[in-house]
Amino acid sequence: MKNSIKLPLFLLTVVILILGYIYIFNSDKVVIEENGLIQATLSQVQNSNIDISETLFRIEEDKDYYLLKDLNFYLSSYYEGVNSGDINMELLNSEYVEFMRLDKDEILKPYSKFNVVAYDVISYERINGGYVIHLHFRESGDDKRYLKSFSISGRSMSDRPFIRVEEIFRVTESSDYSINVTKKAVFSDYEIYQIDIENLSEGSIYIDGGMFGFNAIKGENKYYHTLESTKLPYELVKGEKRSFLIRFDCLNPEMIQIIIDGEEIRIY
Amino acid sequence: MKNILGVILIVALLGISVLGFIDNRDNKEPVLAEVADVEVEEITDYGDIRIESDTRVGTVVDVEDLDKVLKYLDPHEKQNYQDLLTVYASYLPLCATDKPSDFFSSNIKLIGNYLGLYSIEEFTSLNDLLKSKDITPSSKVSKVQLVNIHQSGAFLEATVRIFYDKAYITMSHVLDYLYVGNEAYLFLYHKGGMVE
Repeated sequence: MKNSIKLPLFLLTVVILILGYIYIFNSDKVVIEENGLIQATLSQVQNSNIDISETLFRIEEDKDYYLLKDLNFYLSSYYEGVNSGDINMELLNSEYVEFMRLDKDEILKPYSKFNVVAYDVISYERINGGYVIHLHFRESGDDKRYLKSFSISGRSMSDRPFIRVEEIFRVTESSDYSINVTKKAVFSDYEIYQIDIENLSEGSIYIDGGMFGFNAIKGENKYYHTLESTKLPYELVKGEKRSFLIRFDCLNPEMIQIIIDGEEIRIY
Repeated sequence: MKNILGVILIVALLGISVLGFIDNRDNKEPVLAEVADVEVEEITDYGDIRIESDTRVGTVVDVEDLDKVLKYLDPHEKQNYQDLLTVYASYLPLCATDKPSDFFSSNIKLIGNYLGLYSIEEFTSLNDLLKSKDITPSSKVSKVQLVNIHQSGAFLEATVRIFYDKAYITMSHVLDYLYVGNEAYLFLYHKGGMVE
């Protein structure tokens, strides 16, 4: 080979090597440009000393994380209210509050110390467009853990697994009384019925105070009742009208009965 | 003579390549900057534009007195807390929008994700505070100072001072360390600002 072309060939080789390096170095940026801004910024984050991409990923992409953060906002606001002894009633579902006739005192009643020091979520499930959350909570100076369920739907919560209220209006009348099953609140695994009873007789009428004084039938099972409204007597004096909230631990019973003055009557 | 011509030719080639590369770089960098600026401008001007994925956070923000948190959280969670503070402080200025109601309703989910803020009343109050401090959507966070942190029941309540280009604001938040089964999550919820 002639000496006159040795040097240009050497320099040409150097140029090709440099161009090759430039091409490889640059191709990374081309990918970033083609795939948009997100990759570029993530790349910048990865190049920083402290990598926060995991946190960003959780906040932006991890559905469990941001769903739980959203749901927990209501739980934490609720327990902050419990601890301060002042629940923000606007947090609570108004339909639920109205049906259950709740006020701040009623909500705070289950908490003896007003100092919930911990709670942890056992499970959460999507029901009817909202979420039902089951958790354990613990109060200061008490080793026991208590089970509690909440529901969160839209921008409000309930401190029970409340789903919805349904209107019913089923009237049963006799010369002595008028019984109206007006509506029910549906929860994830039980229902509460509003039953209005008016005494039309000349004396008192008595509802059986036993477990099956109100009862629900579903299939071959008979469900006993729990009185959810304040512990009023089962006696109604002449002319008295009272609204009961009666809970049955089943969903969609086929029949509801009442034992009144010793007689079992179907009211729904 | 041929030698010299060859060398000149190759040096010229090399020069053109390097110039092309530099030109290429100049073309690429502004593409990113431009997109980011347009996005911030859109967020400022139009309430119906949603906040896109991260465009503000490059590196973790320096937090003064962060060790105060070690009394309540383990070192790994300290880093997690710093990350959350970085995101919180970096995205807070976006709330200085001129159309708070539109902006909030258009971005409610992302505002919850980034800032742990869920009510329009809180958002409006934050918007007023930011504007009173001349903080704008383009303000960049320079550092955060952890003023105090203490335990209240199941929660940690903290106050931080966030420094932007020309101003600082003092903000409160709640930290909740939530267990879901065996998985632990650290959440930061906005609790309003303080007028000083």
